[in-house]
Amino acid sequence: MTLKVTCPHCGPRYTTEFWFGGELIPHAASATPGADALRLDFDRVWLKTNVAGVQGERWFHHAGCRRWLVVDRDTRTNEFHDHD
Amino acid sequence: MLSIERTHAAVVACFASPQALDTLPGQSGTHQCRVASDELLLIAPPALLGETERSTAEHFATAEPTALVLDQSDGWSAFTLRGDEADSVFARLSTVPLPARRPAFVQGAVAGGSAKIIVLEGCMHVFVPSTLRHHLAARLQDVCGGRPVIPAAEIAFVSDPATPPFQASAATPARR
Amino acid sequence: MTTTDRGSANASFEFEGRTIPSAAGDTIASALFRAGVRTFSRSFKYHRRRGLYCLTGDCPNCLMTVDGEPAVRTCVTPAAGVRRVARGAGWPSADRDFLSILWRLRWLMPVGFYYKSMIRPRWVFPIAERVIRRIAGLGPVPREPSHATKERLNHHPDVVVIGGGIAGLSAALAAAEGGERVMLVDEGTISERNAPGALRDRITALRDALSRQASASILERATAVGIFEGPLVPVVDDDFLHLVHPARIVVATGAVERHAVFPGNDLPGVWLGRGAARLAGVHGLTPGKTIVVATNTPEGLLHLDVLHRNARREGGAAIVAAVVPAALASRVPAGIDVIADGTIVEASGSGALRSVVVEAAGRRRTVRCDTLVLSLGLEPRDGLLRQAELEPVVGAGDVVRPGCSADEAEESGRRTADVGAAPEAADDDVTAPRLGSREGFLCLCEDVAVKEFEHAWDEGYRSTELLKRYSTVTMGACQGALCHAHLKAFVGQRSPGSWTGKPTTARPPARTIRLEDLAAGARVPLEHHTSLHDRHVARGALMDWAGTWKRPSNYGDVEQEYWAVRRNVSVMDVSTLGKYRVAGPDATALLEHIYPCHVGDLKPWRSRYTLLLNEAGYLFDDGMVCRLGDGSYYVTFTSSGGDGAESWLREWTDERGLKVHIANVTASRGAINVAGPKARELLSRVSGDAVDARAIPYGGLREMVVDGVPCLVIRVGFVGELSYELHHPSRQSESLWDALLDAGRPLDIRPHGLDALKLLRLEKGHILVGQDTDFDTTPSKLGLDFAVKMDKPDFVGRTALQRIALLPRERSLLPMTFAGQRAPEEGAQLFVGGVHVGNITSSRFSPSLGCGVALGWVRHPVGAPPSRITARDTAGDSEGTVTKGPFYDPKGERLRA
Repeated sequence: MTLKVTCPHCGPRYTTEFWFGGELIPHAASATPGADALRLDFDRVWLKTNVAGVQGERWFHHAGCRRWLVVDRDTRTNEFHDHD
Repeated sequence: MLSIERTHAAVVACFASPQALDTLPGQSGTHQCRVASDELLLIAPPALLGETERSTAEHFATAEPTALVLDQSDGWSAFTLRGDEADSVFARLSTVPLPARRPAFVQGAVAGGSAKIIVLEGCMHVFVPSTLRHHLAARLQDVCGGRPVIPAAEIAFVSDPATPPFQASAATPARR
Repeated sequence: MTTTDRGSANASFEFEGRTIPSAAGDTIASALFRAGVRTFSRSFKYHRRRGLYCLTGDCPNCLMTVDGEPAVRTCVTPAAGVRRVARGAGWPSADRDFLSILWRLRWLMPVGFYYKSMIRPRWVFPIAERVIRRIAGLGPVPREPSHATKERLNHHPDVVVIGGGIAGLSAALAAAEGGERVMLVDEGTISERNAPGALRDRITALRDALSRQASASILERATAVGIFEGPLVPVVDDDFLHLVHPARIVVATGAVERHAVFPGNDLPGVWLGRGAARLAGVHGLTPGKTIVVATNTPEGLLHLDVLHRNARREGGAAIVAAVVPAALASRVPAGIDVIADGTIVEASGSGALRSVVVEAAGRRRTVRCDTLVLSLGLEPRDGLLRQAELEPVVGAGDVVRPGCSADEAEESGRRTADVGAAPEAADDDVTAPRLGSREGFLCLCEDVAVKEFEHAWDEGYRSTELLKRYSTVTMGACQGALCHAHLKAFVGQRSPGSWTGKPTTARPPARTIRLEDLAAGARVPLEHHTSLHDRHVARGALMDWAGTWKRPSNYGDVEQEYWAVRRNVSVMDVSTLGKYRVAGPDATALLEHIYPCHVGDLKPWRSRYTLLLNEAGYLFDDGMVCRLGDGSYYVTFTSSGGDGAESWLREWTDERGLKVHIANVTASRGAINVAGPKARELLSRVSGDAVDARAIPYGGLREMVVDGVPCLVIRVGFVGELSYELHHPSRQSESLWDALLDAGRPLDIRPHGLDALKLLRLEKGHILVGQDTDFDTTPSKLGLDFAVKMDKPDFVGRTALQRIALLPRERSLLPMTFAGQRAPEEGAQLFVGGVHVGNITSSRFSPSLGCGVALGWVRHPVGAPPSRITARDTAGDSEGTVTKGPFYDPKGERLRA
């Protein structure tokens, strides 16, 4: 419960009010044929950076405004920052 | 001092661009609650439903014809906590901090459900999805030592005529 | 004037068959002591006698079972209201304990012995475990559930102060004066620990000043559990589990007197200074008749004074010797024998203290006494402080500067309210305790002696963390209050300056806590009801959990409900389905992107079955997409997937920057399924609108008024009969339901529940997402390729499906039949030619077909599924046949009527 996320619509709330959407992954490139595109898509979907440091990530505020928000969080200290 | 009332309200949900929502004129007796930048809930006594829908449709017809306006009255159930113990009762069911400044609109988890709360001087209206009506009534009874909930038939949603309608931002800060 | 003089002594409680009177202000321990009880417990491992020691709630010696609850600290628990007290361990009793023989057998039980013994023969351990459970422990745990059901109460002060001594009260007062909202919690009653006098008056004055502050609240007899990220401080009292969410925290939990280690240091009669002084000063009882006081601090001299005055007043008791540094000798009251610069090296007695040996100036001297009072320094009670590494926490008072004066404590507390001031660093310059002899208990809670530490060190456990785990020191009731300093000193002496001697990690709970208190307010799960809930209950339905919903499993006769659907007409409450209105300029673009099927070609008043795939190409939900007359959409999802669907819809709206309006109408729209060959006939009786196949063809929908209720009527095919799903305002569900049942009476209508539904859909081979699918199920494994249009330029999961299509498909969900009256159990394992190939996910006996029908996962060579299969469940093996397509009405003529 104890980690708090600051929702831009609702204010700081405990993570139990959110669903965690994972670290930000790049937008899918438009579908092009070819083995390279398949491998790139696999890497994009399955391989996470999992950084020990600041990562962009998404949270869905299901108990409140029911919107997605994007924040930066330092995975070592759980400090949150605005995502630029 | 505490009373818990089951309350009827008309709820009209408006989905439109932020600008179109910003310019929606205030309506007497209606609370405008901004859920998100593109969603606004209009909460009013049931008798004002028709008028609310009409004037809202009129606004969006010019401001944003593709806006979506829905009567969501059946989707929400409301309970009114009245008295100086209301804040304490709320604090038994939610970790959401109530703002000191009133009137205010807050949204977050209450008794585990996704709730909208209109906080006024001396009372607060807690809205939960109507599928959780029974659940919240039971939890209110649990935390108030079995105090009865005054049933729906007797009380109608009344916004204090002395309180002007307000458009509250959901991001009301918890502390000074 | 002592607290025990106040009020009448009418109260009493039962103690192991005796009636013990208690006076106003008594703790359970003081009442027992006054009644002559001297053995308060038997130690955990060796069953040694233990008497009162700290009287501050830090040691394990006074733990007893109070009103059925074990491990209650009787020295800080008021006697008022208590009914029954008993000591935990000891057989047959704590006074005459045969198990004290374990002390003589201690050579059989060195530190960590349970890691090495009782391994072979293996049959020894289960027997030994049962015996050990009887012998060890703090008392029996009550089996009946508690009657008390606490709730939670959330608080949002600006600052929470833990500890109501001088430093804590000052910190709270300074914060309140500065305009902050303050909450102060103390695990006891403020000032109860202090004997009447100047110090107590000072504390009471501070407390009164704080009470007058409007923005301050005080919780007494409230125990802080720990400090968690947030920050969050849970506090337990008799009424609530308080969840305090402050912006900052002040820890002013004080210090504990240092526990000294020498042979016999655990004998009843050995006291910590504060404990003895409290017994005398607050409760008016002398700890013994012949008292030796050993101290090296000014505070200890205060304790000496209190004991001296009490002894003189009560009579029959005297301080026979004071062991003090030479510099303090002049402060000892006249008439008391002073042993200057002495050290206690041994305490002896059989079951109670008889004498002590003091060493001074190289000489040893034996002093006969029944009481030894030790005041040899202070250790910070800093467990809470050490728990909070990254949180905004500061300490004040004794916990950061043990031994500070009252003025220093007040200053330290007030400073915490000064935002600019740097936090007070803990006083590192605390003289480490001397570890003298090898005998003597280092840990009273777990009966660990210094000698055992040396064993462990020899075995290679050479850091505080390892020694802690191997010997269990600091893991008992005291949580290191008495022994943590010694643990650090032991390692520090052997590896000076090394990181191995660092303090051990402190973790919640800081005090013993009941699990039921942690569960306060969390027992009740979220429970969703549809608008027809009362109708189902009134009909006698068996209601059961379906996700977070309560739904009717059946109304008493599953088979009848089944036949009602197959032969006549039936209704089912499907209001639990996730339902959304999707509108706006980019609505079609959004739905085209998230569904693998075509959406843009859907004409108004037409619908289509849809799958939801994630970016890995895996199926996680299914539903329908309907096009409305104005071009917008009405989309449905499963009952369990409906809530999360909103996050999926919005995710792709945001991702692609689309202008879409998404309205969750799950609660505001009810839905009733009218199914059966006579469904059309029923609808025509309750609606004036046309319901023939042209008006609503299969795959179509239309707006109708049914018994005055405006409905969106969608033709569906899940159960394999002519079916109409009536979506309507949920406020009118009951009247619609009643009207349908009423009009359907001549058609033999009855409602059906989930049990019948699951059978009906299985006969059609229709999947239930989550039951028949795994997390990595692709549409082709289910034979649902018709719902995926790879010719679409893009949709979520398309590239993944392309990639997966390159792999040979060697696993499929296959339909199968089993002859006989009993279908295999769901979960039965599947075999082909004796080789294990998979498992059954859904299985029921089909009344229409007269055999068992099932779906199951089967591994098979590419393109060559087996034709014969064996299912093995708890009742044995069944032979089955793998089939193709739906079991019932394979051509789908009935649902397309």
